[in-house]
Amino acid sequence: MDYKVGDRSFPFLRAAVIIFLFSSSIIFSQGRGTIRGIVTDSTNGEALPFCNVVINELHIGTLTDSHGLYVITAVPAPGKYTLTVSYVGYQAKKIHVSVVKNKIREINVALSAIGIKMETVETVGEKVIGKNATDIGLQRISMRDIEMLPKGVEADIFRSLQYIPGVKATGDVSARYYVRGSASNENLVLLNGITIYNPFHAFGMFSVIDPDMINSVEFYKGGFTSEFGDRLSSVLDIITKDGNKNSFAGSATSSLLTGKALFEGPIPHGSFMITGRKSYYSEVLKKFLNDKSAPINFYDLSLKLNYSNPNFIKGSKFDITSFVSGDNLINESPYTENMSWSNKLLGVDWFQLTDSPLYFEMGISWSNFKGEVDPKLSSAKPKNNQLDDITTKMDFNYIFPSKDELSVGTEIKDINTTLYLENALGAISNLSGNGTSINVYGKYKFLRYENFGADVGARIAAVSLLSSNNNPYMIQPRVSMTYRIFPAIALKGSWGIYEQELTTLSDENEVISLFEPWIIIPDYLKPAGSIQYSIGATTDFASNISLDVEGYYKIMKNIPILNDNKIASTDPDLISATGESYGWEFLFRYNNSRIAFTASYTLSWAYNDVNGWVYYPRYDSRNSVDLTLEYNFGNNWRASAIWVYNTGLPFTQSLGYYNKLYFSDLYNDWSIYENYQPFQLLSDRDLGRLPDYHRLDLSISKSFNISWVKFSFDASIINVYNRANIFYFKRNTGERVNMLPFLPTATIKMEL
Amino acid sequence: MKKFLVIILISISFFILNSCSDTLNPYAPFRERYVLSGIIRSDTTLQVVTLTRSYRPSGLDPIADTENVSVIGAEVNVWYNDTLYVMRDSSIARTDTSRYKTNVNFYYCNNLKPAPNSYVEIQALLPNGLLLTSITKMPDAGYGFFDQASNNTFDPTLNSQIYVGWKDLGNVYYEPRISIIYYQKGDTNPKNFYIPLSYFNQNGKLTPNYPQLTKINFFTIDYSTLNEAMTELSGTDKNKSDFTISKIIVDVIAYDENLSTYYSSLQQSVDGFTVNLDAADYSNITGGFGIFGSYYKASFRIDLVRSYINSFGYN
Repeated sequence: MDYKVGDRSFPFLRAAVIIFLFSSSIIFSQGRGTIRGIVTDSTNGEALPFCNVVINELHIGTLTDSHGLYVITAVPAPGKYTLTVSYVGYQAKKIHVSVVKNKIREINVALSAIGIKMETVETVGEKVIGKNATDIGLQRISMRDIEMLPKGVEADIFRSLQYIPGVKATGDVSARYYVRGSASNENLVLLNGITIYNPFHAFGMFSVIDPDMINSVEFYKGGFTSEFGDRLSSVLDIITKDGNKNSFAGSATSSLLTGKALFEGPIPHGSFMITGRKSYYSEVLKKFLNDKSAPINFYDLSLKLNYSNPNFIKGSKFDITSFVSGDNLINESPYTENMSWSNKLLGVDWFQLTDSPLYFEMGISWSNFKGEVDPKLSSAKPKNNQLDDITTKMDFNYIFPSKDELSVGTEIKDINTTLYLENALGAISNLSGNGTSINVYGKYKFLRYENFGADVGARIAAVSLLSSNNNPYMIQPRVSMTYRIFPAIALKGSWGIYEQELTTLSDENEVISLFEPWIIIPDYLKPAGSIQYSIGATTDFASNISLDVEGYYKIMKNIPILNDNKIASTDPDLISATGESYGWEFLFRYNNSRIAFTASYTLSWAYNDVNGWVYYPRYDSRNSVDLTLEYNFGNNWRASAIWVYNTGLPFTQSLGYYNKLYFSDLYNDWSIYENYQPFQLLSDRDLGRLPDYHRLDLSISKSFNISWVKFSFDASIINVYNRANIFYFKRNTGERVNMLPFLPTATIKMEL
Repeated sequence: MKKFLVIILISISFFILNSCSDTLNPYAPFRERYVLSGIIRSDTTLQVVTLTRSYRPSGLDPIADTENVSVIGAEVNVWYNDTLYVMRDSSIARTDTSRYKTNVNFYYCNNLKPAPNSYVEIQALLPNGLLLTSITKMPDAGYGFFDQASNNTFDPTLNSQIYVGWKDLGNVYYEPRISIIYYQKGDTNPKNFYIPLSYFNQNGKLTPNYPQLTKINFFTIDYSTLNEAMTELSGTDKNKSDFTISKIIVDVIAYDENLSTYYSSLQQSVDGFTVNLDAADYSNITGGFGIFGSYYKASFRIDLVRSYINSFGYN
């Protein structure tokens, strides 16, 4: 059977390499041009990521990236075409474009938001985008997705992740998430490309990212390609807004927990955005803390400046990102310890388009995390952890006339950590460390075939953070492929090797954890690594119905686990574990002008193996169902309902109790006779299962204008039918602690 | 679409109507375990251990289980310097009868006072034939324990603080206690007034900060703290001359390594918000749970110069 280059039904990879060697010049010689540009919001000049950009006559197109940039190569030239640019919530725009052979045509597009009086949301245009996109494991989350979810106390990006198939949470209380059977410290969180090491406020109840400052979110739950590194499990890539380029604007929002404000506006050849959020009333969190009051006090502050002056450097854009977050738990009593956590980020980024289909991005950033426990006069143990990360990045992307893309880059990290602590058995450890890592990556995206795409690359850990030359994952190959077997069905797959050299000292048995210090994995262990396989299919039966299916298999090695049996200071703090996880994920979507319905189902297994003891990690749930229904009533009234079901999480069963001798003062002779308290004896780890979890949340929202001020009101009810979902049993009293009960909340937002 | 909405509404209604909580039995099959608890002391010849068994309450609350869990009828033997000490069983009335109404059962011997740096071994043969064993090494806190640089006299014209240091025994806990020994007129029995390490201001009131278990092998007390303690000693009694100050005695209890590790394991989740479903359960009992540790109590005398005592009106 013979196939020709450009045959849309070209089914096999076997000739791809040979064809690649010859096809670029063949295609180029046929007469092709390129259309390129940036899509923005007409009212504020904000870049619009993930817009559809389609050439109607050719039925080809692309999505804008996080900069709002689109590039369509291999457009037959000369020719005249109609370019359609569309995005949810915006009026689609059609532009007539002439394409000249061997030239790049710059078409920047400003889309107008649909007025708030319109009752329906315009649906996205044709399904011609991403036929061969190598995007298995990738979820793009719009701000609309986050805003439509019942907010609870506060809208939160991390909580919205928990509705994605393959992502688990261990309780209503925490925004921590676990992806495809991996621990939460294996998730990478990037804010404008800068790592945030402790992205949580208030014991992990909320993320530090204020949703109002977000422009785009990409979430890779596995199979991420070679530009991302140093995490095994997932990548959450958050890009913040640039700020209004046309006029000054502001908004203020108040919830039962926080007050926040956003101010943005133009500067010469650029714009700025500054947001701030501060907690002012922590009593509302009592429901999250089993009716305990905690003096929680947190804030976050973000600033972004951008500058793009064609007279300075044509095609350039400079961004400065600054972000600060802090949590303080200050107890008035001198006998109760104080705790504090903070993140500080500062980064400069240079994005540059060139006259050729080459664009590059360079950046330098500093990320700092500090955590401290000050025992004061309590018997708590002092803890102090600091991490400084200085990262330099360079990325170069070249788009061939054949539509193929080549990306190469480097990432140099200088990490310095300090940590002194005393463990539960009184052993003292100095886990401070420093090191420099140099990673080089390269990848080639085969996009020349309409029905086939492949992303083949590798990440090379040229220099490791660990001072010992002990890295079995120095070369991390990664491959992701898509083959559209029928017009409505695309088959996808990926394989990759991943490495992680930083870890937290996380106690797996803590369901609420206050202190998770970051360290470089000690030299006596190897870096953690994983091999991941995933396969899947995307089906688009109709323009408004889709079904995605993905299966994955993950092997994890050298996972650092806290050594519970460290008694002497010379005993290791961490021991090495292995893990395995696999599962299937199904995601069904339906939407029309008024209704959006999403149903997802996950069937998954996860295992950890520590010194031959195999157990289910506490985030292993066999079956998960999420049903989301959104309804647009018109006149700016919207409602949504989410029902979540998970089969029970593992827990360690009790064998009973024994009376344990407690003492704090051996001058008291009576201790030995009567100072005993029940101490629970536990069975083998995580062999029991808690009852199934399910919960229904409802939300209704309304937007309206009073004069020139836009108001948005949102009311939510969490756990509508007051399901008593068990969280845990208290160790010493056996008392059952449930998750969130019936909880009505409301927020109001005012935009100027 | 209507059908679809109806299905959704019926599903939601079903769950609302069935929204009861699940009952869950958190227990795995029960197997009885045994616990030996004992701390050998250097400051007395009376040594006491207790033997108990594990239990499973009928409900979730272990406090609701009030059946006596003491193991009676065991043979408990202690070896020290190649000498066997047989412990006898006994009982004593409880001071707290809120849970158990019966006496406290224990095993004891009244003729053992081990020396520093010596080994004490225990074997408890339970009535069911199970053997629990353990060994402890007395802390090396005998002669020469205290640092020679420690102040054995306090004279405010020469010293701005009291310093007392002692031998570093490794990663172990020390429990210091500092007392002013004094006599009150008409009473020949000495009395103790405990001196804090410092005072801190809490809501406008000076609050003492007494020494706690620590791994640091010294302490200092500022002149101002000692002054405050000396002032407080007589309380509201305006007849200062009724008080005769004798000396300051510093007691330090040094824990052995096992007891120190055990004590550390008790100090968990002190912040009140961290929720740990497991807890370190250190034990050095072979065949069971519990602790067999030891401590050594050492004392150090500090004299106060008479002019300083008299400056407060005391004798």
